[in-house]
Amino acid sequence: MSIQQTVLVFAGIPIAVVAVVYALVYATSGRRNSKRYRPGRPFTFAPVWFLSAPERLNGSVSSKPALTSAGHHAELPAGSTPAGPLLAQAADAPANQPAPHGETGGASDSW
Amino acid sequence: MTAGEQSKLTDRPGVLDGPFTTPQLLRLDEALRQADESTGLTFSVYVGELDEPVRGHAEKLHGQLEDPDRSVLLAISPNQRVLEIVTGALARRRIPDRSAKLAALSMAAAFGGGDLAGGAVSGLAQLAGQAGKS
Repeated sequence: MSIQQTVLVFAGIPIAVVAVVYALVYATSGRRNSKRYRPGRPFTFAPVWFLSAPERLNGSVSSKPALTSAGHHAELPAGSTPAGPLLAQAADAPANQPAPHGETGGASDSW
Repeated sequence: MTAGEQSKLTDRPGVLDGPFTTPQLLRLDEALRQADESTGLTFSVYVGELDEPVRGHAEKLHGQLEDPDRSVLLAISPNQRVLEIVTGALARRRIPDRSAKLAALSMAAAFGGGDLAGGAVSGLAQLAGQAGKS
């Protein structure tokens, strides 16, 4: 083998393999992890509120002014809420919203 | 509950642009549904900025739920690195503050590692387990 062939085989091929692996790693994980939260980095996403049944939210986030204005019994059938548990819960729920509620408990922590 | 899933995915597509991947969203939804069904309480998770005072803002959000007395809110603010668990008056009898603190501790540990969805899911499971059956 000439010098050029030797260099091509013993340096060129390893460099090519390294470049391919590098490109593969950055093409996939670089894109996927960009949204991930990392402590210390700024978190710029819009606030989200998760509920198993979004109808149970009274506030401004939900697009349901009907629930806050009047009684449940008149408004619920008119709305397009098919949820059974909501109706079952609404039967004993107070008509005037927001309901007065007692003291709250819970806990706080930081990281 | 399919109604919740659908409206979450279609009415609020902004959720998909958030920090959570689709599998994480599905796991979170499943954890919320299971917690609600097994305990009869209403669990919810808020992820976003909280105004100062943080505790007051979290309690205000909790008050916006339909039945605050029977609701549990996990308010997570990644920017401020603060986590608040708010339990209503009735929920508090089933989830004592000490248990809530324990759940908060494990959630904060997960958040410190950058795992928002995993921490929320395990915290929900812990709180639901503490609350027991309805």
